Amino acid sequence: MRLLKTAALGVLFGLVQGSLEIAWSLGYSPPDILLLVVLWFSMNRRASEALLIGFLGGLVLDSVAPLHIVGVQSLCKVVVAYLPEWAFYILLPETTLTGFLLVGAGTVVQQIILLTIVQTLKPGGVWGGGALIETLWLLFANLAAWSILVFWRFGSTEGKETIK
Amino acid sequence: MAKRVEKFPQVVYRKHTQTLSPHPSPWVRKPGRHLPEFAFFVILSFVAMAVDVQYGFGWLNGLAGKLAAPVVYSVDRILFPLARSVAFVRETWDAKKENAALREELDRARRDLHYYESEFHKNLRYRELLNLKAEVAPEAVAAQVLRYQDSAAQRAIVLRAGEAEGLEVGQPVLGESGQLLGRISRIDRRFSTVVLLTDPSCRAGVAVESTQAQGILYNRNGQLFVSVDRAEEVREGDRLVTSHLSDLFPEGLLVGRIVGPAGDKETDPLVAAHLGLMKSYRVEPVFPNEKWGSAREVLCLPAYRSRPVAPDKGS
Repeated sequence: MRLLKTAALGVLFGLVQGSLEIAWSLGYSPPDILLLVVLWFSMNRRASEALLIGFLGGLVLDSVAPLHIVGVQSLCKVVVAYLPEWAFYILLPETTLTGFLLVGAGTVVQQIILLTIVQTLKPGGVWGGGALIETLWLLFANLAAWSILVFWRFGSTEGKETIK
Repeated sequence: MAKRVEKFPQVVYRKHTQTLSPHPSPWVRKPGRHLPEFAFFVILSFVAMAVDVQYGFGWLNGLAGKLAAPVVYSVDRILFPLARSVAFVRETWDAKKENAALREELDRARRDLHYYESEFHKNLRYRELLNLKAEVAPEAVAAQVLRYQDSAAQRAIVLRAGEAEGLEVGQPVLGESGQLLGRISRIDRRFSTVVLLTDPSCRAGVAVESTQAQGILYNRNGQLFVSVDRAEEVREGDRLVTSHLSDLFPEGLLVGRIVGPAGDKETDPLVAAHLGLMKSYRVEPVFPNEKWGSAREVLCLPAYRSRPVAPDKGS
């Protein structure tokens, strides 16, 4: 049951993100809500749930959004979902900055994977100033959305215990 | 031991409650716990990509499109007012920049227009001078005005042309509309001075064009007057030209028009006693007197040499 709920959540956020990418009319590209959700789940729930949400959400997102190769966003989101686990290896302490670091790193890693695969599978040049501006914008939008959505969870140390 | 612990950075762990997360924080889990799942999903993603590239996911795209349609519509409804506001702000900003650019362009256009108008008038003046030159004397020389001196003691213009340009003392100088301005009184290598008809020292023999009534042109305070025999019929508007009796100017150069009789205090200052034989009239130059200062080019006619007086056969 829990697995189904998580899968439904992934599909839902994939639909929302895909719809945002279609209907976004505020310039550049929308913030990647799916990426933020995946990161949040990975940092606060099981990584396996984040992986499932990322994979299914990415699959739906690729199917909804036009001109996407199905599976690219899944791969991106799966990698991003596992980022906090990798962060554990380098002993990244959980501070206010951690979330922002992970969102920034996730955005950049996702863009690198996305653009590399698209460049490989589709004709035409992808890399360049346009890709850089798009990445920077996405970075800004994701960090801003992260601040708005989940900053309160990291802003206060209340409810946290310190091991000395 | 406690001191050793303090050397390490303080690590803060989240206190997980049931409402927030029923699972332990990922920071305290064993590393690599979910690595197989990660690898599985990565491989699955690559498989999906391979299938899409090879066969396509038409059915999935169609299904997702149908599912997403209401969401897209809702998102669009939510974002539309915001997008319009953003577009309005952006258009206003663009309009502001465009406005600034247009203003700059307008200023530049105005400057250009001013320049072209100036060139146009200069061209007109040159054309007029050229026509006049062709009419009056082909060998006339056009010269630029360097300075206009308008004082009670002296009214003259300085030309940016002198001996080097072939000018000499005594050349009559014409302005726009063929108006006689004066004659060259002093010449240098590169400059020359023209004494104007309005200069206190200037007097000239003139004639009323229609009746050939002879008179003497004089001036008072920069205003031109003509003194004519009282018996002659002079009408307002009559053209006044240089007389054939003049020793300074050739015959027929336009001086001005009669605009009316002169006042009692506007008589010829060099005539000691007015016996009622002459009558003075006010003369208005064809090229208005007040515009002489704005003349930029003038035409210098060949120097006039009065005919030698025939020797008396009896002497």
